[in-house]
Amino acid sequence: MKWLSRSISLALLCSGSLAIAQQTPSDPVLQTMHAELTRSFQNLQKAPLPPYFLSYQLTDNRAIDITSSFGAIMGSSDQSSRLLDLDLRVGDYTLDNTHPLRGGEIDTDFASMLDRQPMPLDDDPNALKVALWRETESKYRHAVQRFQKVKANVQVQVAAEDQSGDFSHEAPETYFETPTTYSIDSAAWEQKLRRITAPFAQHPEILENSAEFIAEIETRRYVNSDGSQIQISSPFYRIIISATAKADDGMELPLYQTYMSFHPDGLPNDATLQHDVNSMVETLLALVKAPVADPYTGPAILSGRASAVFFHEIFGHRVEGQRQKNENEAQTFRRKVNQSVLPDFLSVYSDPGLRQRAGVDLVGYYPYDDEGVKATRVTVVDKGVLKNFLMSRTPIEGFDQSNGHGRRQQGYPVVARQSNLVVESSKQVSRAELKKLLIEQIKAANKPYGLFFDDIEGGFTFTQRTIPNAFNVMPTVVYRVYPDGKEELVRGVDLIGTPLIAFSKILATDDDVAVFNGICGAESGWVPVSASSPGLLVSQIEVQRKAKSQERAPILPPPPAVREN
Amino acid sequence: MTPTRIAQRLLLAVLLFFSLNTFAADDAPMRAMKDELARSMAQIQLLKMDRPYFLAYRMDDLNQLDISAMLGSLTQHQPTRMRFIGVEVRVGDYALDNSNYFSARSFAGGMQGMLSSIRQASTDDDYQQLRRSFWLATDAEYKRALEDLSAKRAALAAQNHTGGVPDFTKAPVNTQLQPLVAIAVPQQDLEVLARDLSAVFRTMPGVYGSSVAIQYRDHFTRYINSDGSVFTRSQPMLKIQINAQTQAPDGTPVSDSLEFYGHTLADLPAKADLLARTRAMGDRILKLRAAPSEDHYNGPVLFEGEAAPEILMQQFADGLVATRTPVSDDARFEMFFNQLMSQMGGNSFADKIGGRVLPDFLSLSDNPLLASYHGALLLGASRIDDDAVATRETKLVDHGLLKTLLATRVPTKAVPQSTGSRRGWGPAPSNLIVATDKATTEADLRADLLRRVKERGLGYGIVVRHVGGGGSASFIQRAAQMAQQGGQAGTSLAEVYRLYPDGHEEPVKGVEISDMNAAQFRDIVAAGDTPAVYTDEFIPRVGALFSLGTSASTDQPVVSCVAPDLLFEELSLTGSQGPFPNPPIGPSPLAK
Repeated sequence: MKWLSRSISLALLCSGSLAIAQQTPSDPVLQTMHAELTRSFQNLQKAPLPPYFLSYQLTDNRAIDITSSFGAIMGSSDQSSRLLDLDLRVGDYTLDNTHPLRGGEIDTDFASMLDRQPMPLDDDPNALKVALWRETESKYRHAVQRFQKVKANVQVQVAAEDQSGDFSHEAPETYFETPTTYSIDSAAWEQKLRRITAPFAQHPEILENSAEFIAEIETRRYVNSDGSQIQISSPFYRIIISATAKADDGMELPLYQTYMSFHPDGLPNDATLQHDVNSMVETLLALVKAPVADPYTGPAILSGRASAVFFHEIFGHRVEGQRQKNENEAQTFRRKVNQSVLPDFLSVYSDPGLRQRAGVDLVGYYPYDDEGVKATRVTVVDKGVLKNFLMSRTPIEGFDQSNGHGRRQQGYPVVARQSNLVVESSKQVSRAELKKLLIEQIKAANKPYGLFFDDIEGGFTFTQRTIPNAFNVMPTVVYRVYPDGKEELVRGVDLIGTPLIAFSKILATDDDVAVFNGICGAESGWVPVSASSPGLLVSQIEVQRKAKSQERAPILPPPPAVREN
Repeated sequence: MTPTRIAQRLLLAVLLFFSLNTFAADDAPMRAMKDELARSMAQIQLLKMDRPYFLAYRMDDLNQLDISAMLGSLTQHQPTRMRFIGVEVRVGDYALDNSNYFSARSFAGGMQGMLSSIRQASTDDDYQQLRRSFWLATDAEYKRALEDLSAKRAALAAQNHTGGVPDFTKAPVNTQLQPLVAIAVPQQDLEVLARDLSAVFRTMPGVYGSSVAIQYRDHFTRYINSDGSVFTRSQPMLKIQINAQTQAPDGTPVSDSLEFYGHTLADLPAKADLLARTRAMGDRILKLRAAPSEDHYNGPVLFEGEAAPEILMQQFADGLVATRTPVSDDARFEMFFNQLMSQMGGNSFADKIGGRVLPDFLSLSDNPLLASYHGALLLGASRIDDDAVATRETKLVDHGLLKTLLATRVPTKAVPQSTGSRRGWGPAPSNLIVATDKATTEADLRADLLRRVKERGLGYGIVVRHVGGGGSASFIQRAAQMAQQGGQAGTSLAEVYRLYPDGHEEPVKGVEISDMNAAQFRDIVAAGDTPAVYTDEFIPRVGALFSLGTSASTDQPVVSCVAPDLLFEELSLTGSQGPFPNPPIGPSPLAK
C-alpha cells in the first residue's frame, strides 16, 4: 500500500539558494568517506566473492521542531543525526545479491535493520572510518549469504518475464554544495505557535489541534566505487496546522493547513496565519453541523489539490519503474508504452529539478537522487500517450538506464519514486465554466446533485495483484452541487475507484493549478513529493462512507476557563 | 577485587529528605490536577452506569539527556524534555473493578491503544491546557473502564473462577512533597567524559566495536488520588555504560561492559579511575581472544564481587514480586498467561511462601529507606511508592525461608496488602540486601572452592567476576527462551576464570551457564564477608504489561542489590553456542 500524507514530518532533500555548487569536493567528511570506500573495496577484492559495487550515503540532519496545542507548547526540540546507507553488491550487473527472491521466500534482513552501527557526529576521520569499515564488513557478509539464496532461487523458479539485469551502468558524477547552517530563534517561534493555536481553545467542538514548526537542514554526502562524489545541503522550513472537531454522532473531522518554503521568509506572516486559523475554525464548526453524505456515483469536480493527490495515487505510483518488473505487481502500464492511457488533452511529467509551481515551493526537488544519478525531467505521458517510466538504477525491459528517480528514506533500500508530478492540460476552462459543465453532466445523468471535492488530507492505493487495484482519496471538505448551482457542505465520505476506469472518465480541466506538497510512503520509506494539477471534471466517481470513530463526545463539558486563582 | 567493594558492617545510612512543606502551594499543574480530579469524581457519569470509586492523576516531567560516543567522537547527543500525564480510573468497587482484566480488545490500537492511559501534555505550566488534557484523558479512560468492567463481569459469570481476591486494596492517606528543583545538567562535562572514555579504544585496533553511552534522566512526578494522597518526587539518575567487543580468530564473540549509576556526576568514580577501568576492560577482552574456551564444566562456581549481586538480580530477583493473573474473556488466555509467567520466571515464588529459597545462613530484605550502604550509593531509595503508599523495609527471606513477596495495592492470593512496592508499571524491588550469618573470608572461600574441585576430581574451579548483559539482555534471553517453547537459553558470562589448585587463575572466553534458575540459589554453600553493590534497571514482568490499561506511570525502576561473594555447589557451564559471523576480512582502519 502506498500512502500520501501531509501530517507526518520527515527529512527533506532540497537545495536552497545558499548552497553554492562547486566543481572540486573539498569537504573533509566526503574525503574520509572516499578514502575508506577505496580501502575497504580494495581489501574485499581479496575475498572469494568480491563486491563489484560499493556506495556510502551519509545523511546529516538537524531539525528544530516546536509544537503547540490550544495555546501551550507541547514540545520543543533541536536534534542532530547522522545516518549511513550502504549499498554493496556481489555478483555482476546482470545478477547480484539484490535480485528479488520469488515464490514466498522470506526476504527481510531483520539482523541488519536492528544492528546498525551508529555514525560519529563529529567529523573525526578515525571514528568515521571505523564506523564505515564495520558496516561494510557486516553488509558484505549479508550480501554473500543472500547471493547464494538468489542463485538457488533463480534456478528453482520459472524464468522471469522481464529478463533485464539487476543494476544499470551509470557515469560517475561530481557535485558539491557547501554545508548550510541556519540560526533559529526558538523562543520567538514558541511564542508565535502559542498565538496560532490559542483560538482553537474557545470552541468545545474542537477536541484536538496542533501547530508544528519544523526547520531542517539536510546534508547528504554520497560516494561510490564508480567514482561519484556528491554533496547536497539545504535548509527547509515548514508549518503544519491541524485541528479535529467531533460531531455529535462521534465522527472526527480533521482539517490541515501546511506551508513550506526553502527560505525562512517564505513562510506566511502572523496575520495570514491567524486568518487561516480563523477560517479553519469556521469550516470545522460548519462541518460539525453538516449532513452526512451517502454513498454515491455520479459526476464531480476535483479541485486542483484533490486532482493532484488523485494523480499521485492512481497514476504516479503505477509508472514507478520497478513495478513493471516485479511479478507481484499488477503492472497496469507495462505493455502500454506508446499507447493512449489518458485523455489526449493531458500530459504528465515528473521533474525533480523544478523548485516552484503556481508560486509554491515544491518539496519533491533534488539535484541528484539517492543513487548519485543526476535528476532529470521525465515526460511520462505526452498528449495522453504513455512515453516513459520513473527509473532508478534497477533496469526494466526496454529501459536500461536510470533517470534519477531512485529515492529512499534513510535506512531503506532505494526504489524508483515520484518527485514533482506535474499534470498539464490543453483543455482548460475557468472554474465557473467547469461548474457549468458539471451541472450539464448532472442533468444528463439525471442525478439529484454532483459533488465538489475542495480539499483533501491524502490518499492511498494498492498496486499489487493479490488485492483489487483500488485507490482511496480522503477528502476533508466536500460540497454537494445541485442542478440550480447551490452548494451544500457535507461530511463523511471517501473518494474511491480503480485506475483505468477513473482515467477514462476525465472530461475537462479548469485553469486553477494547485500544488499538494506531501510525504509519500512506499517500499523505500517516506519521501517528500509534490503533485500539481488543475481542477478536473469527471463524468463519474464513487464515494463510500468514511471509517468513523465510535467514541462518544466527552461526557463533561470542557473545564471552566479559570486561569489564575 | 573490584574497587566498589565495601567493608562489612551492618551500619546502614538512612535517607535524608527535604522538609515536607517546601513544594510551591501555587503550582499551576498541581492545581489543574486537583481541580479536574475533584470535578471528575463529583460529576463524571455516563447514563446510569457506575461512577469511578477511585481516581489517580500523575504528571511526569521528564528531563533526559542521552550522549553516546565512539573512539572520541560523539554518535548521539539527544536532549529530551517532555511531560506525560497518566490517569488511573477505577469503576465498580474494591472487591470487583475494571482492572485485572484482559481481552483481545486490550491490544486494539497497538501500543498506543495499550498505553492510552499515558499521554503527552504541554510543557508549559498552563493551568487551562493541562486541566483540559486531564479532562480528555479521564473521559477516555472512564469509558474504557466501563466497557472493561462490564466485559469482566460477563466473563466471570460465564466461567468458574476460583479467585476471590479483591481487585484493589485501601491505603492510608499520605502526603509527601519534595520541592521542584531545577537541576542543571552538566552537558559539557558529560560530553567531554563520553569522548574521553571512548577515546581509550583508539589505540586498540583489535577491539572491533566500542561505545560509551551516558544517560542523565530526571522524572519530577506530581501525583494525587481520590483518597486524598498527594506526592511530588524528584528522581535524578545518571548512568554510564561502556561496551567493547571483538572476535576470536575462530569467530567467537568476545565482549564486556562496565556500568556505573549515580544521581549526579559526583556519585561516580573519579575520571582517572573510569579511564583506568575502561582501559583494563579493553586489555582484558584483547587477551581473551587468545584464551581457551570452556566446552563443558559441571562443578562449583564462585561469584565474586559485583558478579554475586548481579547473578542474584538477573536470576533470582524476578520471582520476588507478586504478579496478579488477569481475568480474561477467554479462559485459554489465563492458562497461557500462567505458563508464560512460569517460563519467564516471573511467578516462580508465588507458591513458595514459607518454603526454602536460599540456604539457612542467608537472609534477604528489600529496603527502600536506604540511600547508601557503607558509602556506596543505593539507587532504589524512595519514601513513597507509585501508589502513594509509604515505603518500608520488607523482610523477604529469613534464614533461607521465603516470608512474603513485594506487592502493590493490587492484591494477590499470596500477598493481600501492599508492601509499598509499586514502581512504574507494577511491583518491583528497590534495594535488595543480602545478609549472611556465616561470613567467610575470601581466602577461605577460595579454599572451599578448591576442596570441592578436588573432591570431584576436577582440574580447576570456576570464578565469575562479571556476568554482563544487564537487565535488558536477560529480558531478550527470556524472550528467546519463550520462542524455544520453554527450552533453556544460556546466560553468557563476560568475565570468567579457571582457578587452579596452585592458586593461579586463567581467563576463559565464551562461557554460558546452562539451565540457571532461581531454585539453584538453595545450593549456595558459602558466602563471603565483603558485600558488593550492583545496580541495574528492572524490566517489568509480563504481568505488568497486561496491567497497562490501569497504569499511569512511565518510569523505569532502577534497583540496587547488595550481596557478598556466593559459592554455588554446582552449576553447568558450556561454550558459547554459534553460529558466529566470520571475523572481518579487512583490517581495522586503526591498524597501522
